[in-house]
Amino acid sequence: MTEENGNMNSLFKEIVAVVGSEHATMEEFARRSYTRAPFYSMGAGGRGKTPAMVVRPGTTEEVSEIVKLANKSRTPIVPRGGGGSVSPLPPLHVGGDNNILMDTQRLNRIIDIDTDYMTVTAESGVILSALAEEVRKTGFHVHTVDVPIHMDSIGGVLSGFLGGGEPSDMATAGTMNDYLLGLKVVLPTGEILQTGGGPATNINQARFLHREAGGPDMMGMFVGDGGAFGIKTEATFAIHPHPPVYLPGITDMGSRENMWKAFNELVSQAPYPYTRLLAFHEEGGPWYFVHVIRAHSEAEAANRKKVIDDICSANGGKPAAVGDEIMQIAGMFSARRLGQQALPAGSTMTYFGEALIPRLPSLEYLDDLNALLDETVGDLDIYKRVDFVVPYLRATTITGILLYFGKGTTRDEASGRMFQTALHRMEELYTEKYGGWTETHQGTSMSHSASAWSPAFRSFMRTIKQSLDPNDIMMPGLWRI
Amino acid sequence: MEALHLKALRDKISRCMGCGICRGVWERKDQAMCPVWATGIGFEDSTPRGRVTVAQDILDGFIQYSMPLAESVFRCTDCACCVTTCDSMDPETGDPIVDVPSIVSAMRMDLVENGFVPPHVRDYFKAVHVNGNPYKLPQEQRGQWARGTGIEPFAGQDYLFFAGDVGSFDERGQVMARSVAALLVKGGVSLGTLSDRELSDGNDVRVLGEAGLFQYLAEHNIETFREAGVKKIISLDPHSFNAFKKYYPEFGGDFEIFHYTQILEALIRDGGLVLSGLKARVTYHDPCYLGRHNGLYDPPRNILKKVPGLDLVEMRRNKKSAFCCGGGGGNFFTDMVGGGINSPSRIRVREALETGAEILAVTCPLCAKMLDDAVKDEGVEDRLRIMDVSEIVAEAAAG
Repeated sequence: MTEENGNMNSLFKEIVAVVGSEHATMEEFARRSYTRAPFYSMGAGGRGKTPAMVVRPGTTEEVSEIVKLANKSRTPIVPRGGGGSVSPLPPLHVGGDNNILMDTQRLNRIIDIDTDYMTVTAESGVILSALAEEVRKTGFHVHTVDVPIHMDSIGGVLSGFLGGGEPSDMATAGTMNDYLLGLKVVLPTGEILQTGGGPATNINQARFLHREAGGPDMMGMFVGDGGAFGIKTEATFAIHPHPPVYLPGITDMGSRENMWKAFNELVSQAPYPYTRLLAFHEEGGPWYFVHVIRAHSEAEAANRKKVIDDICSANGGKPAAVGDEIMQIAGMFSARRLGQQALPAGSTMTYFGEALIPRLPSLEYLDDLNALLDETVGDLDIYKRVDFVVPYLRATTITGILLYFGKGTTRDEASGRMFQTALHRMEELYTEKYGGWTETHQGTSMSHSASAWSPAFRSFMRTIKQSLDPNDIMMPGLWRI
Repeated sequence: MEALHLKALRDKISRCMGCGICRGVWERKDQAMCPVWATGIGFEDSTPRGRVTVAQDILDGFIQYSMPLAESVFRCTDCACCVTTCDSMDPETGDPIVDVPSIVSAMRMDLVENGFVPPHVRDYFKAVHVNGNPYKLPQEQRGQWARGTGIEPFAGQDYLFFAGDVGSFDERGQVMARSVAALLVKGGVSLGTLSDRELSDGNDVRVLGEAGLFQYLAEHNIETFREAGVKKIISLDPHSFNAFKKYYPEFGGDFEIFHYTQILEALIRDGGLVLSGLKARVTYHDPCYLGRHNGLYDPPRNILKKVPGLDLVEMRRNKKSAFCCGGGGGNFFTDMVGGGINSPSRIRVREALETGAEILAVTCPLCAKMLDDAVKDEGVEDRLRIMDVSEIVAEAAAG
């Protein structure tokens, strides 16, 4: 037995004493099962780094005890949320061969829904769809992420590995982070910290009233930290009265020019007439808008629909003749349809170049992206490619290509080619040429984003990291700083 | 180490996108959900997506079959909820693209052939192999349940009535077998039993991966049925029904197979049984081997709808989305999933209570036993009764 193995075995025993033997494992098959990322190759290129141990704590206190033990032995910890990240997790460059993967799915309790203060507090392992449903039962709405809502956990999204939190109404409401009021975090030393005002802080408030009340807001530093500053165990969000009216629609905009003129008019309206808007087209086909209106009354919904219809109509749009195929494509952007596609045998679905782009050059970006796609995988069996543009508030869009490979292309071949050939050039395209950024689902961008930090910010971050995590056990090397 | 059975499924395994929706959706109480994931036991490898990942890792040579892996693989209840939630079908064939149950089944066969069989599973195999039933009871006792029902030994009647292991040997199962048999006799159905000439149907043996033992059981039973002149079989147990209908034909067993609810439905519809009525609110639990595996959702419901005064209400998870009681895939005998406050059967009892029903109707002796125990564990015996559909009909017939 090597010294390292001996140390891990010893640490494992100590951790088992905290969580019980049924919630910790060093079995290889179990450890490897956590390294899978949706859409990526099953082969080595698309898998994360295999941890040395997996542990599933059930309380904040257990998390704290485990972190203290890891600190003592200077063992890296990689927290894991719902397992929906499209990027391989744990990242290949984080930690060493002795990482502890902390599966937070047992932290799955919704602690409090307060309809007076309009807040919900839940543990970080709660799956967002379950959070949304429980809040909805009280007549309220919580902003959560969109497509992978059934897989993502609160902690995962807030940490930024999957999201940064794009709610289904992202086009008009911003991100989930905008509604975050408080966090409970286990710091890398094992101390438990409550942020945002309220119980357990130095501010004597009964509830999370306003983040800014009473002193500096230290909560934001944990948002998008990839778990490097600590492990989130609870979060409190603002909630709002649920708009009960749901009115979807699809419009055939014909040409790209028509779509784009209408798109720019729609996003410039105040208030936004839609809650959600998506423009897409399949290669060679017309451009479509899919819109969703959520309203508090039928009259409000009808008024907003009229604004959309008028703008679309003035730009050559007409109600779409919706066939199954169009609904299937539209469904790919729907929260409930992911993974439920009737794909042709052997096909593989993935996204290509999905990125946050300034609105005005979005279509130029799409042209460049399509050229890159042709160059990278154009010779493979591609049976469907769908361009899409989604407004992200007014000034930016989420733009990319939804890509289906046909049965002549294996998943390994497709993802391997994209991973090795296109990833770097894709990033160059959306960052350096268009001043955009990877869409925040892409956890692999953590180190890339850090590479763009200014020297002052890099130094600031390094100081905070060293101060909070003197033994560098939380996601070590995440930002490569 | 060989992974022969898994290798044959490489194409299915590689098509999985890995999205994880197969695990089920926590808040969608109207959609199917993996009972093992809902229970919260095990790690990612115990989820359908994790099982596919493990399968790929075996094929790629990253991991080998082992006893700890066997403990994980044998935990699957074969409920097929993951097929329902994935819903990715090949449009040309209508078959599931990934089909996790078949992948699990292949892994189990490989594990058995490589000698990695957890003790509870091994004991089950051994009991069936030695005794012809998992209860380790002498074959002579197999037909004792039928005493007093009026059912005769099989001698060329229209139907063979097959009670299965649980219906023959388990106390709760015997009550159900007697109830069904008595009703069918009362309704004038021509049927008989083969008693100690039958062996275990082998459904759960097959699902647990002992293909050789299953073949032996199937061939023995088929030979026995043929010698006796059996043409049509009424099965008490959906597990037997599944084996007879889907897997016995591979060995030449081309009999007409019915679940008892199909016969009972016809009897009531045609006036062979007259029902006075029963005033109660009832909800119905779909057994996985009758519902998802074989698509029989309506006969039990049609029977219940014919009972005057009975108010049939649905649980939110019903029909193809029904939540497994935890007794499938051999787990009834091996208990690999275990109990606990969030055991599948206890979750299912809570779902039944949500409907306000006072009776949870079943059509499977394994479900009956699992849910009976769960009612006791939940301490709700005064609020919810587990009744087989035949028992409800018998009460209704008695007025």
